[in-house]
Amino acid sequence: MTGAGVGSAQLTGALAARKDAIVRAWLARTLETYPEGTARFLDKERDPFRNPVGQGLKEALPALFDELLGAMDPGRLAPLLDGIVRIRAVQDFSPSQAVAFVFLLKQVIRHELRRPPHPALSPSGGEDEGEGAMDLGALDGRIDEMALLAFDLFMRCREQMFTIKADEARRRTSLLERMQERS
Amino acid sequence: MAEEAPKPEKLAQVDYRPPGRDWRDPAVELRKGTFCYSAAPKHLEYLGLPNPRPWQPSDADWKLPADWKQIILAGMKDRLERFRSFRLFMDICVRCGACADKCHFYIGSGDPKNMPVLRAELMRSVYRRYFTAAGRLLGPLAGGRELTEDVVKEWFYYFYQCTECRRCSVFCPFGIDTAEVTMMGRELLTLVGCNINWILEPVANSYRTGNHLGIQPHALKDSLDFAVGELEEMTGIRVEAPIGKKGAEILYVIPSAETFGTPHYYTLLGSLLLFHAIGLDYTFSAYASEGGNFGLFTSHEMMKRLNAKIYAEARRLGVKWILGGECGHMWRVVHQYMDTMNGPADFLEEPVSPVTGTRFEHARSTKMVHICEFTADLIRNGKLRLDPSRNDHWSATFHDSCNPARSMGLIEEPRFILRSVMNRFHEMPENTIKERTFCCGSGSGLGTDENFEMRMRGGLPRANAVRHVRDRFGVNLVACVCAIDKATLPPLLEYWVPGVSVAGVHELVGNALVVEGEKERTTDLRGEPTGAGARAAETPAHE
Repeated sequence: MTGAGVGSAQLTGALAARKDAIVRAWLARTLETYPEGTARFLDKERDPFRNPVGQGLKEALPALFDELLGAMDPGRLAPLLDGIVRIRAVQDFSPSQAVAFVFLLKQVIRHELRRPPHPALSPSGGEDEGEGAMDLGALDGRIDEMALLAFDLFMRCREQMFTIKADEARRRTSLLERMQERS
Repeated sequence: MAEEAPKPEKLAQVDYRPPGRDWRDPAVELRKGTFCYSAAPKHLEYLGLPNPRPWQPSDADWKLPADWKQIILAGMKDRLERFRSFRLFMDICVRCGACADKCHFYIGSGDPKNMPVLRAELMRSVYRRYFTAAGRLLGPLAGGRELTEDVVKEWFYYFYQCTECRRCSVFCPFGIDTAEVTMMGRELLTLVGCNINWILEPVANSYRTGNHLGIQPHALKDSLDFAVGELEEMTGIRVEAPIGKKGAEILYVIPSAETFGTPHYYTLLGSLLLFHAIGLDYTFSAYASEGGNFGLFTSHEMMKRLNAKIYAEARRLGVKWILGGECGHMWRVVHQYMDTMNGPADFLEEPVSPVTGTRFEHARSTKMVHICEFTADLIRNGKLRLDPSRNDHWSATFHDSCNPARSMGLIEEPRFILRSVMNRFHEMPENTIKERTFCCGSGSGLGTDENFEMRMRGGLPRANAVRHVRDRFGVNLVACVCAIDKATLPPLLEYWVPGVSVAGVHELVGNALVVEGEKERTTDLRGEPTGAGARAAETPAHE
């Protein structure tokens, strides 16, 4: 994966400075993928045993953001993404909906950097021109990498379910099989 | 059924915000993996249940009888009159929300209709519309809802999603037992032939041959003989496993899975060894060869029918009392319903332990004692020689199975036993155990593989607490006292918390039990090496 840094130190610094706001907005957008009342519950309930879904997101998203600005180490990224994707792989989401939370970060970052306009972006504040846009392009690439990894993990979860189901069927009658082998 | 391939333009839409929906809209999306298959017509026919026909929940037409609406409303009226609790539960909820976030399915799925209050409201709204004056006059303005075919489908989806675990009822200030609302929902659905195979096939088999798989007496004997042989190989001790022994003191009723599935089977080995060690005069039965009672998940009448077999057999064999094995919902049936359905069993004697003389007064009426109560009493009275170090390869936690914990209050006995037979035991967080235990997500007849995704959602809160003790204390074993747990926790943990196994309490008792005349034990009852470190390699870091 990409080495340290996103491109311009200026952009990295700007993003790091706004980490709290960005992660908060990212969490809010991710929670919006659930029905309204549920999103509120997932956000407010702090006990990790009463709310494993919400608390899991609150722990993983800041760490994922750090990786995005840092080394993008797959060894650290994979368990963080797995914690989220593993849950969404069994919930009422299509595959695209299950991993879409990663892409939401693009919109969130652009929105946060525009408020107030930051020198890392081009003077017009647009994202399609200037040096800042190139930096954002590199950042987008990293987010895409993260999304692809999330999709791989999603598929691994789905495939794992089939294996587990087969094992379960075997366990149900395992003794009968052993008895047959011995007779 | 062929699924329609999505169009490219649909694929390109990443629609991440769910549409805002009025809960009164009954439409449900029956996604594969989230519902159970319908019951095969032959099982309905065998049991004399209405409307046997081939159909599946994913079909557009469920082939309901022409007068389905009258049937359901008449069934509801009948039950409102017969069961005071049902009318009470329909009337008294004030929607305080105390139960809302307590359901494992709500926590794991985020689906608002899995909030117990809302799930019950699916039925209450119909009750109001047809059985209250305000609802009849004002309809939706009084919180009423028309009973339509879509409502029937919605009921099927959600009432066969609730595992009747009763966790929500612990938090209800009015004591509403939402599981009973689900039970009524399933009864009404059964009246029009909407039931699931994973429940009705075991019910039909239990009714016919005495157990869930339909294992016949000779096959049961083969299984028990096999267990006796394996136990002898491992311990050097030949135990007896009598079937249908007339005049035995005690009838022992187990969940039949102990005779054919793992890890249940190791629990059977443990209990066989225990009974040998104390010289218990007991018998199995080929007629009452199932503790489980899926009738509980079908209707009151079906539950009564199956439960009656145990007592009929106790009478035929002339035993004094009944000992029950590590089964979950059997204990809800015995403690909450048996006495008024088939009891009091006054042809039996008040259970007294033949080893310690302890009188089990709480079982005075049902005459049925839980094996954990029996064993805990043996240990408390110093009647067993135990070597806990033989379980040093395990670091265990205890999952309170819903029914023993919440329906019969079996909280301390299994823990006392576990602390006596092993050195490494760690509790999960307090709000996830004892009467607040989280369900395995597969109870009440929903542990089938076509329903796998739903089970993983429902089991998430339990698995999450197991993960906590695995990461914090190195726990590698979940002990439990329910056959459904033993079947469904292994896949649950494999998905959420790899590296953690599942065992019955009496498997661990059997490991630790020092029996006179035994050979040097080099393995546990699984035939695997014992001792600390033996399983260390199996405890991986989180994937």
